[in-house]
Amino acid sequence: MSLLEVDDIHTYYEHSHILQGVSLQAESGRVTALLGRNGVGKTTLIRSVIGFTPPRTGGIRFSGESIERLPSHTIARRGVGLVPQGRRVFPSLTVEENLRLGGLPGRAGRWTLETVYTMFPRLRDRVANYGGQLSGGEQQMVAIGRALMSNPVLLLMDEPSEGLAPLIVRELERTMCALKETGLAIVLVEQNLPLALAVADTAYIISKGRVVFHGDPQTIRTDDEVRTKYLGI
Amino acid sequence: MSVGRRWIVAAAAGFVVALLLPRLGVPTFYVSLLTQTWIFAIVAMSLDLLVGFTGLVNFSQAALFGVGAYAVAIGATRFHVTAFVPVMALGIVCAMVTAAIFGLVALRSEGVGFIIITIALNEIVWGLAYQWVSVSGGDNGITGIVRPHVGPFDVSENTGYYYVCLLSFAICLVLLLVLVRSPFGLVLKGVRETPRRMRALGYNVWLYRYLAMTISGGFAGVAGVLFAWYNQFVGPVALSLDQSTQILIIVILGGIGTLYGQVFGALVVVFLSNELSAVTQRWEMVLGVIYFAVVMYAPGGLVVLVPRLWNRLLGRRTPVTAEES
Repeated sequence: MSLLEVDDIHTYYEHSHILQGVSLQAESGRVTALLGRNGVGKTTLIRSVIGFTPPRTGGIRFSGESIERLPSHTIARRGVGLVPQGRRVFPSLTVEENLRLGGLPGRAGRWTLETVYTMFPRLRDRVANYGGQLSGGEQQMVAIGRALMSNPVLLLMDEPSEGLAPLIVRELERTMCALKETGLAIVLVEQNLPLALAVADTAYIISKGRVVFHGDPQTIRTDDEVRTKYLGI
Repeated sequence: MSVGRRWIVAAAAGFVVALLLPRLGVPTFYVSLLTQTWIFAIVAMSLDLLVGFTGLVNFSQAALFGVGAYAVAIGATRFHVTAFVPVMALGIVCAMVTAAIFGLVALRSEGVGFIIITIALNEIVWGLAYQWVSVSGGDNGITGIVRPHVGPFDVSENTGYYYVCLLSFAICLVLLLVLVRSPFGLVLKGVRETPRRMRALGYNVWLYRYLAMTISGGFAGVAGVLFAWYNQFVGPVALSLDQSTQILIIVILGGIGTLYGQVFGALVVVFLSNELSAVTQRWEMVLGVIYFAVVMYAPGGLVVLVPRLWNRLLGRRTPVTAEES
């Protein structure tokens, strides 16, 4: 049994049928990459798991329990962390306040303010700065740190490299590998193919709301046909 | 001096001045206007907890204020509950229970929907006060409320009662400042910023909004109780929609999300409405122009403007704080 099991979900926005029967699994200590062009439903899949747009049919099991009908805050409390697209740091709260909000009573563990600062030393110098005053890279650190503070078992990351300088993307890659080492399961939605392939243990390609490829990231790297057909590169 | 430190000094100085004012030969009329100022500052702070810290624009605050006031009146005239502590407790509990019921109804919605529902709730309570004559006295209201003794102190005359309101204000301000700086307050700020983010972080946004509304109702109740004793009379005007609007205007004038700024907002609204109404019937127009000017030129509220003018008076440049930039 996998940590996260998405089983044939159909998710709609009003009348638009976005996810048309998607199934996937994610395991502890592994990065599962979701790839695909813009608008194929990758973010919708993330939103279905966290409960923002629950699937109309199909099931989502997390640690063996159905979560597809639970409210978002309950899903989060069970150990699903989210690093949202665009980072969404609270602009008028300080770095430390942002991180504190991530911590939940009853979810203590490896991650505390101190361990987050150890992982992202730069944030220690910025504790009193407001979220809105940070660079994109620093905001990303806050967004990841904030999600880690609740000591999640599964981390959903939606395009974490978006808008970041190449050097910062390298740092992000190291961060994700370090997180994987801790046993965390990561579901990574990413447009940056080299980054995704470098960290992923398994990859899914989604096209028009369906999974069209599932397998070893190495295959995507070597198979030109898969790349051109589904990723447009 | 750091900005925070300067505020503490200013607040302490302001409190001392406020304590001394009645002893400095200020005419009784102005002492009573200042008493009103403290009362309205309390109810404005209670609304600021929702508008400024939780992101809920609540138009039913006057109803909660009024429930506190009517609790005093009905308690005193029918059940002979007149001592300070029981009456204050009764007013707070009634207002909190009302707020808790309002929360159940209004928080099913957010944004504009929430505003409309709170307007309707305020109208319902006003309607009860206006038409349920056997209980509320209808438009005639309830007279015969007597100010209580506070411990050994007789506060029935205006100066004594001024101190009751000033100290109540100071206690409410401190309690609210502690609340908004607590982990609970931090969650409220997160809810104000982005409710969805907070859900993804594992917070039950509805519950936090509901608690904030209920707590805010308690503070509105304190102000209502003080108001009933102040006037020694309660009528439906105390909980009209106009009253709700005026409380919101105080918050916007004073400075949203500042709490202590409400002193300035209340000062301006109470003094202008009393002074101008003696001069012209169109005093609300003048108030409107001032309101407009503050929103245009000092959108942070008078709490931002006052130190700026003070510094200009002393020929200093205003340091730009992080929140402004």
